[in-house]
Amino acid sequence: MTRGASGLGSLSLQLTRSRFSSREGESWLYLASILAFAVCSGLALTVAGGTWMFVNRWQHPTGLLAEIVATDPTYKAMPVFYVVLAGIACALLLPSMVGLASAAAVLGARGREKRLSALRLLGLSSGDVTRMSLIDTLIQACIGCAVGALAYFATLPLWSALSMQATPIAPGEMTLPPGLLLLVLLVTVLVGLGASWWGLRQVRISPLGVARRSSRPGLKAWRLVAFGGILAAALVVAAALPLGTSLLPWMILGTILVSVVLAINLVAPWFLQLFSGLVAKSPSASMMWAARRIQANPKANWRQASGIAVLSFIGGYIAMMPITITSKGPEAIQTFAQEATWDFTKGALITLGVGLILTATSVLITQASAVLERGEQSRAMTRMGAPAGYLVRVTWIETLGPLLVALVLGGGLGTAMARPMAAVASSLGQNATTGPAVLSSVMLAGLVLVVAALLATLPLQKQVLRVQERARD
Amino acid sequence: MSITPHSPTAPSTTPVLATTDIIMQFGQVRALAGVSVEIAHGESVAIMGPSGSGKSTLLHCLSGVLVPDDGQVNFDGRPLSTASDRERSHTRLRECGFVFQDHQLIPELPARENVALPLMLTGTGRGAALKQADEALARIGIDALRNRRPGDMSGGQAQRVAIARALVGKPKVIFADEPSGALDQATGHEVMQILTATAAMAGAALVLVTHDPNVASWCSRMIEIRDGLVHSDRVLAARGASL
Repeated sequence: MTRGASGLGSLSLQLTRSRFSSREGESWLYLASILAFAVCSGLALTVAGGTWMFVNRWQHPTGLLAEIVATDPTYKAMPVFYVVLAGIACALLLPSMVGLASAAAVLGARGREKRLSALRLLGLSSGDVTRMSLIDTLIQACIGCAVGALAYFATLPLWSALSMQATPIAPGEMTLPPGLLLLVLLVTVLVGLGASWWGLRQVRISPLGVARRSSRPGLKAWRLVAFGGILAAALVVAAALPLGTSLLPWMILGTILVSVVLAINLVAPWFLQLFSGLVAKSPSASMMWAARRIQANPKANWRQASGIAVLSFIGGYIAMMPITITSKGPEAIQTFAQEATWDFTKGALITLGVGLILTATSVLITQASAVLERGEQSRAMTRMGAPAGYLVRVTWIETLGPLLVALVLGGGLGTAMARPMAAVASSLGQNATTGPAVLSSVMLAGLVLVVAALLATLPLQKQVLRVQERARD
Repeated sequence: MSITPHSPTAPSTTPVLATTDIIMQFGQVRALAGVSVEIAHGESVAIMGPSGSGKSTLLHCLSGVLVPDDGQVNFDGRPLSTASDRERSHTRLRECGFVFQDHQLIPELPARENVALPLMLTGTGRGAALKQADEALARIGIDALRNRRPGDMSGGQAQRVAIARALVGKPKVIFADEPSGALDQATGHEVMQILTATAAMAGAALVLVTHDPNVASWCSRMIEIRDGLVHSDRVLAARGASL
């Protein structure tokens, strides 16, 4: 058994080496997969590092924070509030991170499917092929995580330019202890392995070739019912929460926000399936194909847009929230309030920035993977005489359609969910003034990002169409 | 039912395809070294030859997918080799049909939309395109498959749908690259029968690349390519395909 596993490992390494020497675009897929794991792990470590810093500052307050806690014990809740907000930010970014790690694993798998089929022809069992694929993903994830960890350590000093809780961030504060660092990396690797295993379940690798599951069961309407239930409960509970200085209601609110984000991811693929089914009846050939692509796998299409939905949700939430902290009392408290006044904005912008990078990477590699995967089909369409812009139009409609749903759903729900908190703030004389600017900036950034990712894949599309495949005779 | 080639309303003496001394080079490899052939309207021609002989390159030059380095390709009397990429694409979409070895149907579209797609790309309305697609599928006897997606079909069924797609636009030429290469012998036989019979019924010329003499025997003429040159060009005994 061990000898068998070691044999498979050795074979995986040999095939990895041959991939790089083949120069058939597979090495590009491999490197893109490693890049995605690097981005994912690097950002996961950074976000976890920030949360770790707030936990430490809560446990061992220093400087002005320690002074105000000593002055007024009610301010003990303040550092906990930061920890809760950091936790919410982590939770909101989690789907994007998992999505990117999954995309990375699936991307890596695309290049190896045909080769695995050839290995099955040589006598490897289905289990061997699965194990080899997992070993391959493990290698990519480990290399990516190592690069991500290096990037995390390299960028730590940059955070010292920023201050939180009226105290500059020291690089050491954001340095995770070794155990926690390894745990974050381990989770990233495990997510990648899980996605790779799941991806293999979507294809049937037989000695005769690779067959992709083309017909998936349609998504059921229970998703809409569940979403309605969660949203109604969230709005009712959020409106009833006695938000004030007590920590518990804020924690409940955080949980509600995360639940709504998860609920968006539950219902959005169903919406996409519904809309695309209607759009597929369009007289336009581009709309028809794009809509059928979405309808064939609405979950995969939504994964690409879900990051933007979360960002729009956060943007919509911030749009309704006052972003200043004012306080009356002793000098230390006033100084803290003055210096920490932009903390919420800074935290939100960091979360949005991380989310945008995750989404950009995810869209780019998913699009690039799709271009390579559909290469043969694209060449066939070109041979049949399909106009040059047809394939590009289909891809744009397929990508931007779900994006619009993401912007509307995310932004709208974020705005709705922030109403109770905005009402509390409003009763205290605080109103959001920069809200619409934040929301429109997020939406615009999301749109620009996806368009940039689409444009970035155009040269690859042209390269794929230029390839003259040797006839199989 | 025995098939006799359909004659266009005004029989044309201009060959639908004609090449003059076409040369095609890929790096150091000369795939075509001066090929001249003429193919008449409604004719069925098998291009045969060993691996690497240049038969697929010839098919791609005839269909305007590739432009030869030298020589001329005429499509129905019009120069194809000097036409722009856009014009060549336009000709392929409106006047040619294609059948590939691996059918190359769009996996997300049901059969009738796959067949209707080339028509919709030429500007035919969705309703009319789907109607013609249904008729094309019915002609081949697979109208029961019209709402199935390619992933839910056998290889033979998918290739039949691909033939319907190639024929739906009433093309002047159907190009087929190893159309039965991915099928078992019995299914391949059926597919060839349908392909040659429907092409003849539609009055379309059929240009077929194969390495299999049995497949070539469905055609009325066989051109053998060796080392980038026409090695032989002969008329075959008619097989009389029927549906």
